[in-house]
Amino acid sequence: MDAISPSGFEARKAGKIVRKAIGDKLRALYDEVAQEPVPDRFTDLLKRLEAGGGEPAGTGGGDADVAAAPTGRPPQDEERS
Amino acid sequence: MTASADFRNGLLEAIPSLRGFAFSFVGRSDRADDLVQQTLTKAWSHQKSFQPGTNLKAWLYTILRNEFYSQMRKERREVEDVDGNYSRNLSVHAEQHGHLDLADLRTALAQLPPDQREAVLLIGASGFSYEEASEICGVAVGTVKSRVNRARNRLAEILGVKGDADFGPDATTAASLSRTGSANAA
Repeated sequence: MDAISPSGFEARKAGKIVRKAIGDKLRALYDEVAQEPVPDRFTDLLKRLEAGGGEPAGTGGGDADVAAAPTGRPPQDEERS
Repeated sequence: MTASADFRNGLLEAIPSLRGFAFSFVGRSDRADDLVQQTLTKAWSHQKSFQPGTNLKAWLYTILRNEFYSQMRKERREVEDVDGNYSRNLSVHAEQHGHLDLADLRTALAQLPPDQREAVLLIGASGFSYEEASEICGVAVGTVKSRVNRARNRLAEILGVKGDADFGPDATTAASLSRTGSANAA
């Protein structure tokens, strides 16, 4: 398609339309999964965790993956000493 | 209700959002759900680190994306492979759901570097503010904004979105014609 340079106003208007269109699509992509009912594997997991059962074969990531405080800057993944 | 019950309910309530983000970010349904499972497990074992009344959703997202990058570093071969797997698995899923537009978007997202992909999803899909997203990603607000802008521009470029072309039938047709066929997995 030919790319005719738009005027400044047209370019800004096009930018807004594009951003909205992409934003709508991103939300649709996200909603497609977010609106599914919670699969059993997760409700089962929470039950197991509450009952004190651990998870087999953890990821080994350790404390570094967890934010120290919600309001503070979360730590990046660091080498464990 | 105890603090622990509140925490558990908070986790349960956050699962749809975490899954929505994980699926859009990682691109493979089984791997996305594995990531959410690891996130919940880690969150549970670190419950004491969480201050009740603060932003649980942001805290969980931080754990999830840190877990993703941690795994990516450990499994370096997946870094090269991730885009290929991402696109291939997404195209199968797209065919199952019949959403050509979303298939195009997923393929386009796969072409973004992870930091831009997560930024545009946190802001555009998960509904976080720029301040929250900067906390989650551990970078300045300006950095998040710049990543989001670059991601949007790149997505628009890949999808062939012009100002006067909406996402109606003409744009879909044009996108279908211009696709290389990577989304037509047998």
